[in-house]
Amino acid sequence: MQSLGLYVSRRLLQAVPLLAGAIVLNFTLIHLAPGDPARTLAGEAGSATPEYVQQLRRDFGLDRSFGEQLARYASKVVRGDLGYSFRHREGVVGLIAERLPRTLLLMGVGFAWAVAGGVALGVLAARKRGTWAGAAISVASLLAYATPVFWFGLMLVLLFSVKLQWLPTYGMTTIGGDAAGFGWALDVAAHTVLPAATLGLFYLALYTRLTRASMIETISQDYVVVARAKGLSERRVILHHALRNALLGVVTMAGMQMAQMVGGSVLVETVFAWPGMGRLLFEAVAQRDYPVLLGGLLVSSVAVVVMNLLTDVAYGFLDPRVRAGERAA
Amino acid sequence: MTGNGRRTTWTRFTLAAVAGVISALSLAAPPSLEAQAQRGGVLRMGATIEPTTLNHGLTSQLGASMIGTKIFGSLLEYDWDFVPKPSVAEKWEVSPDGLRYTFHLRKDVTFHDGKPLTASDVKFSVLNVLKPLHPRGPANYGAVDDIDTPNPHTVVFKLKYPYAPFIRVFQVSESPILPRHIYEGSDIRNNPANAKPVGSGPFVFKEWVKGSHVILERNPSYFKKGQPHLDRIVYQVIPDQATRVAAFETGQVDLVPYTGIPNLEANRIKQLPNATMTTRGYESQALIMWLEFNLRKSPLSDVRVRRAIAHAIDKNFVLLNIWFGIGKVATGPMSSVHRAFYTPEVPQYPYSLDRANQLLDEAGLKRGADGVRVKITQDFIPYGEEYVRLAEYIREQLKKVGIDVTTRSSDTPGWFNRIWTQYDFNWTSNFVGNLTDPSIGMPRYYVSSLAKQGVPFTNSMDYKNPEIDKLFEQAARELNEGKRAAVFHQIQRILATDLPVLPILELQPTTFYRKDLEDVVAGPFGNYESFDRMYWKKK
Repeated sequence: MQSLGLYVSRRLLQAVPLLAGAIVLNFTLIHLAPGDPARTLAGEAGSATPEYVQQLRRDFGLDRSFGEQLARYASKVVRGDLGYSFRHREGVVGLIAERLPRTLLLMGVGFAWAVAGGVALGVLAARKRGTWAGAAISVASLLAYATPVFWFGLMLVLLFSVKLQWLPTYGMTTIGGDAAGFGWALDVAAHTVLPAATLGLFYLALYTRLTRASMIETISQDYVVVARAKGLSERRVILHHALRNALLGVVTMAGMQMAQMVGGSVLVETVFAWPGMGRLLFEAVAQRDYPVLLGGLLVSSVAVVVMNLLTDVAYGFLDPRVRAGERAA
Repeated sequence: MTGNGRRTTWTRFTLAAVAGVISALSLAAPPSLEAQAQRGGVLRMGATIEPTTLNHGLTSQLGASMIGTKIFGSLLEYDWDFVPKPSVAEKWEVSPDGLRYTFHLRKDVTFHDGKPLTASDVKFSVLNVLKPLHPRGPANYGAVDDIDTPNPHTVVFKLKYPYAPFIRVFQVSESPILPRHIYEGSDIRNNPANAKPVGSGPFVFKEWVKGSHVILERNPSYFKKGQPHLDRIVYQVIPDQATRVAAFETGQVDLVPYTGIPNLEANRIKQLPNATMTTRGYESQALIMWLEFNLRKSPLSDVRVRRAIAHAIDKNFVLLNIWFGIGKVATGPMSSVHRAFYTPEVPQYPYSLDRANQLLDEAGLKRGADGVRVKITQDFIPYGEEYVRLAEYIREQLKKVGIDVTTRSSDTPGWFNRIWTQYDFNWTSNFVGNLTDPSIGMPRYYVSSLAKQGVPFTNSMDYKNPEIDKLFEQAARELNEGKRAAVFHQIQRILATDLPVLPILELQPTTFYRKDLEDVVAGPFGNYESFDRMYWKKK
């Protein structure tokens, strides 16, 4: 266990220069985009004067040189201050802290359904290979894989909200409904179904295909044949012997893709008016609200580092050989 | 799948319970006989845009204005012809020379925190917030020299020079009265009250969940007795167009302002059993959609080329096929909303490809072997699908007269940057309001001294005409309406001749709402009115 602790701290140390690089790169890229936040806000206000724009630029520190702005930003980040949103006139840390849990809820549920559903369907498809059921799963997963996320979301809204009226169209809660406790949880759950299903669909399809392929490969291996020969139940052979190995590939992909989901959440949060971080960041781009965008990207970078680490740790649990390798190293 | 059924029933139950409690409370005071409007109910608005602040004394942004106008009070309100009506001011006088405006305030107006609203709040709001910090401050209050408050209920504006549109600037969307006791001595732009506003209007701020919604509650001590009728307003942000349409269709929102339901869907949605569509309530904006030309560069510096483009565009086609018939063909640079000042008697450029070709020949743009006279780029305002289609239409039309157009697209900050900071464009579509008075809305686009690099929605064209500068100044200071109209007619004729912008349509945004909602559009400010008269008709 001690080696695990050492391993984790070493990996975290390695992440520091990585994050520093990400900050500088993001800062530079954002400032290369045409337009600036003061003029964007002034434009949105409709009828501004030069004095108004100047005042905003001074307020935001945009009248300083690029180097000075970067230095000021970096020194603040080191102290845990992600700056102040031009548009929201509020600290970035507070804005993100408010939005992040909502996005994590959406991602968590979407991810859980993608992994659980994908693995289950994948195993089923592998076992039913050559039958109509197996073929149906393969075709359906291929279709889902190719479907644009927002289109699928809108179709779900049309079917379940407009036609059947089973589920709410948008939002995270019934606004103005003063539900508390269990009623509130139920309300949020009803609102989560469609966006989470939409967000997870692409990954569900991906994991189905991935699981199917690696199961088919694993099932044909000698040790599975031996397990069957020993007279173990089919269920035990599949779940304990074959699946555990087949899962390694899924875990690798899932770990990498958890971070990509932030990208998917932008679309889903926009379609479903979900007040999460994806939309916050997307709107920050459209507003050139640099501090919010930089803060959000930094949080995403941290998330990627943490997810990669968790993936590596998960390997160890799934495959003792990886743990042994770590010790030898 | 009964889960949602339960949810909906449950919501209805809560609303019924809330309504029950309220009606029980109101039994104590019997309703007056003249009050026909019924009390109670929630208004749920489904809007496109999140407010940047809830103090619209700092910005004219759409979201901030739609919410702030319900929270704050103002000196005056206006009827459909922009004639002032009493509000916080019960009486007012204007001196014959137009230099002194005296307002007598009601004595029973309080802010939501219980403090009385007095003349010093009005003076503070204008001199410390609206004039220096609001983007339209200079246009609205530039003429104000000083404000006197001889007693707590009298406000006297002293002007440096007569300013004809001045009586029209006191509506709540332009001039909310802010509480001096909360803002004085603070950094006004960053005062926490901007996110938790305290006003004197019909609705009291309750909560703002950023990215999601704002909730306002009925103000029980509103100075208009018996109003407002609604118990609560919920302003929800639904960024995606298709989701917004679905939300209105499924009854999750009651009112969708400002073309939140796209014109493409309008005809279908307005035929739903409980839906109404109106284009009234946007008169105060008097929007004109146009092409603005960059006069710095050849070939658009030649008025014959601009006129040729005008002849090549069939405005009726644009109205019917791109805006689905919602709106009006523009005849010139002023909106016909301003009946007293508008004239259609200006040079027109009827649709004629022959005339366009002829003008381009005269301008010396000869066709090459491939039939192309000139290759050129165009930009469009990134505010919706219509403008993409308009750009496609213009490209196809101009191809017919030998102009080979490439369309460039950019996001909003990039577009601002290209048009108003870099001046790197040939023409772009755009829409701009004449606002409550042409002297407020028009000069920023045509008066040469107001062309400032880096400020969006000002004179991007580099249009300079000393005569126009003089006429706009005259129009602003002329108090006789007949003489003023003559000046404006002259302005319209010159602009239609010089054609620095090519007006195409008078835009008429839409508001969709439930049929059993009454007094939704109370005046020319529409969604920027206070909503104090709106009510639900009981079935």
